[in-house]
Amino acid sequence: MPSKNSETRKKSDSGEFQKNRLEWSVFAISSILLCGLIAYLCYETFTHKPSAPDLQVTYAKDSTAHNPYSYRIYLENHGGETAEDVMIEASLLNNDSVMERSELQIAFSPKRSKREGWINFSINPATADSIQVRVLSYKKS
Amino acid sequence: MKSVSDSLKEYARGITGGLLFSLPLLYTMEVWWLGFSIQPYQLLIYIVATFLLLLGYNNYAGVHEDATFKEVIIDSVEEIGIGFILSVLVLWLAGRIDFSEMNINEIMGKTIVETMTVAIGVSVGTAQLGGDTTSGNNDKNDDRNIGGAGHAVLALCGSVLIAGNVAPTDEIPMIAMEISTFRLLMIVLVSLALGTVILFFSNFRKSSKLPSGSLSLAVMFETFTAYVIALITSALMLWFFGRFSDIHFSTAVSEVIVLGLPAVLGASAGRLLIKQQ
Repeated sequence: MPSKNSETRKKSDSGEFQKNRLEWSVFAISSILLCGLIAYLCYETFTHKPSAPDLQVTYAKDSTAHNPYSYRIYLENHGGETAEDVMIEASLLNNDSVMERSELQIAFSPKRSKREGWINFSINPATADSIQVRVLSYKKS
Repeated sequence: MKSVSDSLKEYARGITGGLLFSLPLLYTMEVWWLGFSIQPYQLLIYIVATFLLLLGYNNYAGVHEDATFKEVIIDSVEEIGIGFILSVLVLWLAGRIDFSEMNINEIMGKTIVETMTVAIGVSVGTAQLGGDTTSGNNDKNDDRNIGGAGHAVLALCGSVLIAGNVAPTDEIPMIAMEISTFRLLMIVLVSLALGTVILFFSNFRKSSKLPSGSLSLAVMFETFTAYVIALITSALMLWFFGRFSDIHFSTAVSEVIVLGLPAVLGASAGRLLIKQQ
């Protein structure tokens, strides 16, 4: 900390200060970051409209050697608020009766973000008429 | 002009200090969750509050003792910049931010919430972690007269730094909800006792000059001030971390007292931070 020695102290007293190139570049980068952060947050504050979580769930068959009847679940929140403890239910239906049900719990679904998980069945889904995947419940974060 | 190697040493102290004080927070999941549930305007308030705190700390106890106000501003901006880069780095290393999967909101929220504590850590680290020129030519430090406002700012920084590490955790509401009134009262007494001990020792060097009566009076006054500051900081932090929403007033008071214990440690140690420089 050379600023503590007498030479620098004199400079400070006369109201001047000198920094080397490294310090100026750190300061420049930091200022850009800070201004960027503030600009971003101001933009978000003014454009942000509070809205309830809007969850969309999609799925795709994703079998593996040990889980032949596995489905990959994609959860996307299009809303302006985070959903907590999201419960997703997947059912195999045959003639409108449920053959098997499976559940997936996802701790958080942040606003405008994606989360993924897997659901397994013990029955071969090919023997069912259809598969139904839906969001059962979620709570306010 | 300062040599590049001196500046590098200073940044190294800042970076290590920043990590030393804030790694617990970078590794705390409640803080990541806050990052995606917080509103943008709250983050703006958070940045402004931290910046003011950094200005205060750098002004009264910062690494550049004779700094002009302009230099204090420059140092504070640099500390936020370093804090931001460190947060991105650690969160990325820990797999908490992922540029391919996560939305920019989530990444920015997490990073900004973490950045501010890291920045305070960087500031304290730069000023405190064994500067090579601090010994020898700084006799001036002992009588660096910072006055009441200065002490209050240091107490504020100290309590944010120490209590900030536990404020966002679920343990605070849990303790507050389950605690009995008797234990709560004991926490208040223990907080005051700890504050007194720390402040007494930080005033020890001066104590020989003072008659014993006025010393204990001064320590008592400072302890109460430190405790009040600690409680205020605790309340503000708990509010920021969303711990006051939908709870009864008495639980909120319990939370403040529970967090007041680590906060008063920090508030009274804030005084030590400058004295031991």
